[in-house]
Amino acid sequence: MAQKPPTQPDDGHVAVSIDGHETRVPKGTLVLDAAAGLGIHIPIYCAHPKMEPVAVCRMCLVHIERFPKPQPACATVVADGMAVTTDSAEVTKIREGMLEFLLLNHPLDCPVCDRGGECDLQDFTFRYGPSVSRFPITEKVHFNKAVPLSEHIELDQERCILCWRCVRYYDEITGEKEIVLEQRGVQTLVTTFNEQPLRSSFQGNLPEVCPVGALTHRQYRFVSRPWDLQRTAGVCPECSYGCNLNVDSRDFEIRRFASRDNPLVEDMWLCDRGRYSFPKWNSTERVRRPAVRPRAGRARDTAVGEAIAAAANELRAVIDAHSPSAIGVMGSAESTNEELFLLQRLARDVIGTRNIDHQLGSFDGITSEEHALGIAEIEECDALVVLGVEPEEEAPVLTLRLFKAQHKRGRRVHRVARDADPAGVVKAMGATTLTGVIADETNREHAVLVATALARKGAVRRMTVTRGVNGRGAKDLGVLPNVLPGYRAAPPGGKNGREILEAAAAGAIHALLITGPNAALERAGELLDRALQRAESVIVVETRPGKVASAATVLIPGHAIFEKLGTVTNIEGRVQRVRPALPPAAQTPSDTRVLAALAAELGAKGWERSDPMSVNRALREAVPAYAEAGSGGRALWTAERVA
Amino acid sequence: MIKELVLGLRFTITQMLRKPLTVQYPEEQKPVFPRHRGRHILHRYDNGLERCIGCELCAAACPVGCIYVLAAENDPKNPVSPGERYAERYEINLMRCIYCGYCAEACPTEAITLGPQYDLAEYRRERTVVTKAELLESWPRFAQARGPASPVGAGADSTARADPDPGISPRVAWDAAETVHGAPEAPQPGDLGVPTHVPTVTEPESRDRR
Amino acid sequence: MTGAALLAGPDPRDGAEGFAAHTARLGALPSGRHGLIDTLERAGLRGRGGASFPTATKWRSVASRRGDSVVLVNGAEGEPLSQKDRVLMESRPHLILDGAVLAARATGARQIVHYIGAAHAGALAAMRRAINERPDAERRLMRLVEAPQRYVSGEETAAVHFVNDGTALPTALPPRPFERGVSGRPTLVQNVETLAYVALIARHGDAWFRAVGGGGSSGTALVTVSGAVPAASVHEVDGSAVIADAVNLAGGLTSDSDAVLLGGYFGSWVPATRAWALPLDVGALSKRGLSLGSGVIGVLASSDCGVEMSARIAMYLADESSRQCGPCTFGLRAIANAMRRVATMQAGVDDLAHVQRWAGLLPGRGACRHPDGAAIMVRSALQVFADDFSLHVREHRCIVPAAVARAA
Repeated sequence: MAQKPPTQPDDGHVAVSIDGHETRVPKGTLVLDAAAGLGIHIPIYCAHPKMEPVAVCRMCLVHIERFPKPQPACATVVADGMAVTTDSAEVTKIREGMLEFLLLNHPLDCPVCDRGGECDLQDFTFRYGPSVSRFPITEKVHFNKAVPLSEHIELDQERCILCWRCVRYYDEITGEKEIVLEQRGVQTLVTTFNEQPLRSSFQGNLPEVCPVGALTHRQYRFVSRPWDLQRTAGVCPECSYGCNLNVDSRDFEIRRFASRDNPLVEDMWLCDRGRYSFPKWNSTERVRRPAVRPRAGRARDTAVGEAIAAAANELRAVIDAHSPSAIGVMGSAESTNEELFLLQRLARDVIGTRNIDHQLGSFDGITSEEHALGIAEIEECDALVVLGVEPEEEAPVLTLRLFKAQHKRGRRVHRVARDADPAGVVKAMGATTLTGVIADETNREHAVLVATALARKGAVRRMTVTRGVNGRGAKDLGVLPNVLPGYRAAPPGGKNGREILEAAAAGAIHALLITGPNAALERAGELLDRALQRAESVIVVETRPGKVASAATVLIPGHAIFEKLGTVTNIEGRVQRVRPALPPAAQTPSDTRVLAALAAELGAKGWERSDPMSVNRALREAVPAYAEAGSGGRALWTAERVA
Repeated sequence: MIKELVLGLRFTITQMLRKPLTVQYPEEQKPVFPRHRGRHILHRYDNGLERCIGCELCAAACPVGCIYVLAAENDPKNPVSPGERYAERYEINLMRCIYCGYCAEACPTEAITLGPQYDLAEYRRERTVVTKAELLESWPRFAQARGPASPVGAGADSTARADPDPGISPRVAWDAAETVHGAPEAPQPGDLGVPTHVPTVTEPESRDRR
Repeated sequence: MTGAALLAGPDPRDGAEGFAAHTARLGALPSGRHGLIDTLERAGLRGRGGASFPTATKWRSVASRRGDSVVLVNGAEGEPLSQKDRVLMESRPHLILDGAVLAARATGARQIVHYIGAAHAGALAAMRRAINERPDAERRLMRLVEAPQRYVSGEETAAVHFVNDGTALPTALPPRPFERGVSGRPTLVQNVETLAYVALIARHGDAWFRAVGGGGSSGTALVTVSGAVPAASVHEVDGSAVIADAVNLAGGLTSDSDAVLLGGYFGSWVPATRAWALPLDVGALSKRGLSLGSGVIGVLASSDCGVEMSARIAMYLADESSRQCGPCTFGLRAIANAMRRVATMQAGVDDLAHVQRWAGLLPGRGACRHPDGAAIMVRSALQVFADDFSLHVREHRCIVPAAVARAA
């Protein structure tokens, strides 16, 4: 037996040797992870980094000294002095044997399988498997192919290798139990519970959980090969949760969203609303050419420069005839931080108006307190109070984090009514040192009451689910009438979104500057129509044709979120970068350059460097919290910083 | 002297009586060797179904990236190829192709081979991108075999459809847009200096015999 | 040759011995609190469930864990060829209960779970009645759980899993039952026959145990003889007995026999010529690479084809797999299918070679020992019936024509 190494001070680490390489890893580490740390790859099928080990596929069996038989690396915890061998003849034989068994009934239809090219079975067979197939195709057992499990998911039972990952995904991640392994006679099959279609709002993760091509996306069926796809790291634009994803495009169209694991945000799980929202970004219904359509005179398509000059003239005319306050500026929660930062600077510093907002409702008394609770910190709270169903409807992936907090970390999750009595909430709550209060941004006032009441029990942190991918950034950067960037108080008198529209409809505001696709504006309905008709000039930087674009007196095409560079901020203040995955639909400069050119036309100085990167630098100087957040970190606000 | 003259003439006359080596190209074309690697052909099964399943392995194997495949799902009642998947679009950029034959080697269904055609010049660049309709083996008996009343299967795809050309890929459209934009109309057969008669390829007698 | 220790006293066929009769015959249950484990160790008692694990070692590892432990009395008897646990439970339930109580005392258990095959109605009834006859203090510790009728139900982790969750599937992962079993407590899973012997050793001592074995090292053993005998029956034999003795006890052969399946479905085929003289003693058998397993002696009648029988057993084992681990789900099924093809004369040229190689890929790969046991049976079949197999594959015929018709 090997000489025991000299005992080291107990620092919570143990020494293991894998294939002769020594390493020290924390106690409780799995052999699989310890090997990965050394760059030693151990093939796995049933093991999944986000799930508990079950050790059923037996693909990861390795030899461990002093163990009589090979042990599963995915479920064996390292012990001090453990010597693991992953490259012996014995282990190689095990892997070859396992692959041989797995391939026994596998249809080997890789050429038509959507997973071909990114399939673990394919890859491991290539890497560890026997080079010759020993089984005539005719002897294979055949099952159903292409069984639709829902509108999103397709099942190929032949390809299944019975790793249980899909079943465990429902057990451990969503808690819905929609997939079962059925033992019919002599065969075991994956199928849905009671053969009902899947109803989960998180089914889109199944094809990514599946190590082979048994579960595939119906929308991605035969659409592309993985090697055709161009992958761009992006952020899901469907809500403000800021899920990280990979944008996979081919032929200048997005073909799928794939998850990009960020344990601090979405923990690699996407919701179906976000995952399957990609077709709308391929839409050809886009504003493509700049246009000038004066109220009196002939509408015409123009060059961008001309349109910007026309916009500046119209704004200057309103300022001269009335005052800067006769101009209302509407930003968008779907713009990048850089655009929003420039827009508020354009409104306040260049035009000189206080009427700026990014949506309709009032955000009186907004503070950074509303965003103190981080997404990953949800798991650290003893108790969580969710007010109403709106937070989880707005940001569905939040549900999975709450499930994890509840079932893996044993936290208490209280889902109460939107307007639950604060005293009642406090009463229902046991002892707690840290409570998280999660509310929708339309329910801010009530969340304050609940948080105040709970503060008697212990520390309280609030999370406010904002609307729009960058709703949080718009607030941080002062695209609100009552705060400046960084929640500094703005001089009073600014009108909020609804007031701007009302004033425009009443003839008090004469010019509107509107940027970006703005879902909040569309909700104003008839008020928006009246405002757009009455205003003398409507300057619009917009991506999609619609009510706002057609009412514009000056229309400049904007770039959609997957066509531009910039940063967006999610509900917890995480500043994340978006990158162009598609070429812009309109051959016009980026939105930041358009805004800067407009400012320059209005006589502003020092706006020359207006590419997104330069604007980002300026933004970081102006808002220190963003400088500290960098890219991918959280912008944290302290009382001093706000003051 | 006479002897020399006769000898010389005999050579001349024997040469005169020999079959000429010259071929009246392009009216006449010599058969190529059976394994000649010319323009690609997409084959069909005996029942008319396309062999190509749209797996894109040819495109993956292609060292110059000249093959574009867009797959689609077969309608089980009216399949284009056996199985679930077929190639909705299949394009080869012949200008870029180096005729290495890797595509044929990679093909799991022996759907693509390199054929005998070698005269591939075109007057317009974008025409050197050949589409599936041009590459696919013709199958004249298909309609008879299935009967005219039931235009099903792959034959229906090439015979019954009004427009058999499934169009060109965005990638080509991109190039085409640039080329066509503002360019004078390309020369057409019949224009000055362009032959009106475009010869057809004479197929070698049998590709199997040799 | 024949032993009379476990089944001493009234004829086992007369039904369960009552508590009063039991106590009158053997005397009151000794306290057994101190030194019992040492006595067991000196006696050299090994588990009778099939694995022949030293009982004392197992008890000690449970006893050394902190906190209350649990004793799980394993009477699942999932092995189709075995009847000995049933017979023991039906005739000497109090011997088993004595052993369970002693085990509970020795390991500090506060709970005794009787895990008895749901299909064994007689055994269930007898045990239920016997539990009710026990003193209150003991009865309160006991509960009875009906085990589902699956081959794997008797596996110790499967038993614990079923008692905990209602799923009789082996668990793949540590902790083992002696660390954390029923309700998370250290659990002693012990076969009924072993416990019955514990009750006797506690009364008579280790020297008696070694003596009663009659030359063998392991006391007497209950064996089930089936196949080419008048009727399948259970007999108690001592270590001096050979297989021929057991078969004679069962009434002798009803036809010629070529091979004997020793140890049950996880056991090995032994050619009859060699089998008759084999001693029924664990130690002696293991020296020859064999195992008595759960005491099954299956005699293959000359009217049966060994290939077909083996294929049938392989199919059964593949069906009975819990289908959790890859090697079992895919490998065992593949072996069974190939063997069936051989048995039904539909074998491809490679099938035999495949079976041979696959059988080598199974052992040690699963979470439980199901694939290992199956591989032992398959390999011994390939060896013992080598000629039959090649006849099936090469000439598509069988030495027992009737069997072909049955297999098809």
